Amino acid sequence: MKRFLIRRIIQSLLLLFAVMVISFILMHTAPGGPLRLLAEDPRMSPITISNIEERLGLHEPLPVQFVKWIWGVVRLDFGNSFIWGEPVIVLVWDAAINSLWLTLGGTILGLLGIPIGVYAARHRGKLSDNLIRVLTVVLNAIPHWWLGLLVIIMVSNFAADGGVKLLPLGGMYTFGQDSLLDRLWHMILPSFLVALSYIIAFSRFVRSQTLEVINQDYVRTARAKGMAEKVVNRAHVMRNSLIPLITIFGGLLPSLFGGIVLVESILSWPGMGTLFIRAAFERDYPILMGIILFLSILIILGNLLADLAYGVVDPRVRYN
Amino acid sequence: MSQTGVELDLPPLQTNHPSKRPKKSSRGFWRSSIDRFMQDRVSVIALVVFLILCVTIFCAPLVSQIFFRGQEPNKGNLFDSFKPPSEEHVLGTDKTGRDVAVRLLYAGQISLAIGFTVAAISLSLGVLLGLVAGFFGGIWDDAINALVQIMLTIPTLFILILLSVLILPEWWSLAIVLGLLGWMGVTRQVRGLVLSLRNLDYVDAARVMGASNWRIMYVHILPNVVSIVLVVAGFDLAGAILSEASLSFLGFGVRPPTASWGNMLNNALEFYSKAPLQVIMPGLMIFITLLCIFLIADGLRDAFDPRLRDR
Repeated sequence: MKRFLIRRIIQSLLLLFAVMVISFILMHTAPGGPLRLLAEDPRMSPITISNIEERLGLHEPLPVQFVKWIWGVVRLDFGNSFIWGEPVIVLVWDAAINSLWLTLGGTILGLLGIPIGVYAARHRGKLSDNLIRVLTVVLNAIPHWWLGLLVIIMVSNFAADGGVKLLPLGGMYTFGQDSLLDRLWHMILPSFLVALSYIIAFSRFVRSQTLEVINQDYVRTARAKGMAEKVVNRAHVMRNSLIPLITIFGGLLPSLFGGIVLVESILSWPGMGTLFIRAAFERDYPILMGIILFLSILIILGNLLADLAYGVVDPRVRYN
Repeated sequence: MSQTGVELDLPPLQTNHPSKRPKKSSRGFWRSSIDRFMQDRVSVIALVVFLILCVTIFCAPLVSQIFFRGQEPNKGNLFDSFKPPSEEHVLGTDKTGRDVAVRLLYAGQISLAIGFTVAAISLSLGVLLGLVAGFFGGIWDDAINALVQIMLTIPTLFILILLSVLILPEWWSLAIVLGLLGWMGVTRQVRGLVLSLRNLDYVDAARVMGASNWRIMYVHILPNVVSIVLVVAGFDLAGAILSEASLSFLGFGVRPPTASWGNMLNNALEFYSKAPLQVIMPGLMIFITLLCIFLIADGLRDAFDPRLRDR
């Protein structure tokens, strides 16, 4: 167990390093860096530009820049934002907290997929099962951000006609009143949009897992020895069909973050996606690298935790 | 000619010979798969709709000539902006007076072209790497697995945003980038399959007869992988179309004035109270396209492996 853990941690660090190297190279070798933007400004003389270049450290060769950046990261110094001048860690942290609200809300709502999947499997082939399957296929084909747009349009039309504002049209809180209730009210639509892909993935996965387990010999044995159907379901079917769910949690993280960018963008939620898009337009390298680093760490950590948790809940999995 | 008459009189000697038994229902894998696919009504309808969609979209100039008075997607009359749907403009016009219906068609060209290119790139790359990893094993397998791990860890949408800000992509460069970022699923599937195939007896037999590695891979293993790859290709195609739409919607990706479903949505967003149809239609096109592709892919999967039905 200990050796496995050490090996996985070393692997994860190498993985993180590789991801950062690739991101760094992609970002810095692509044409149109921050200086290009400055050069388009007629008030900027070439001397000012080269001064700025020197101040931002962009005049040094790429490998030197990368080593400096990595050395900073090791000391938890992620540099300062080019445009805002503030430390990256402060800006990214604030945005990350805001995104965390959405992630949390989305994941909790997403767990709804589990009972849906179990229900569909237990009623296999019946009308309700077919309805759920059709619905998941249809919902999978709809871009969720577009669904969000439609909801916003409907809500705003409703507000214009009926005078009742069912949901806020964006933002994180009503200006001037940042209460928990108000925050939750603002979270309903975005968390639901984030949750949709979870609900679909979970309900499908759980359904097929449950169907597989239901036909196993030990379930038949349990029934044959007279165990109550409820107990069979809880102790034998649910237990074994939900374990593999842990493995897909880690794999869903990248798409979760992708979804958050879109949802934040349509609902102007001041999270990491919004920050990233602004920074991308301004070519703010330190912020961009900081966010990619942060997300990669989360993804790698998620996968590592999923692996470990799998071993804890499933005694058949051995680490060696 | 008289000989035939003589033969006809003879008793049919050879019919009892096992190899000359009348063949009836031994259809090949592809034949029976196609038959199964054709029996699934939903899949067939999806296929037909998708084909009609593709033909209409790729013949957009012709369709525009016939139904929309030959209007062009990027030419509009500013005096005609935000016209409601009428006989002249079936779905109305946008901010600069361009016909929305015509733009939808041309936008489809970009979206579908990106989708197909991405699927082609990620398939060829994915199949090649998966074959090599599964077949040769050892250091190849480790290297390719490491690469897959790295690529899966990269937050894709973020990298895409970054690249499209910096490179200002044409549709084909966007497709190449999407393809290079999306082959990992295929590789994993193919690798797993090849691992189970390479130890089968007929592979050993081929090797005993002196077949080279590449011949074994190409002649004996690849055909067994094709069916799964086709299904994954469907999901890749859908994923690529969705990625392009999301990216263009965010204001990255395909640049205006070239229309794509995503950037049409982006343009329409400011005016949703004035022209809600322009927010609805591009999304509806994406939805219909994706739904057809998903249904076809599902149908293919069930046809190739009937045991998977109801899963």
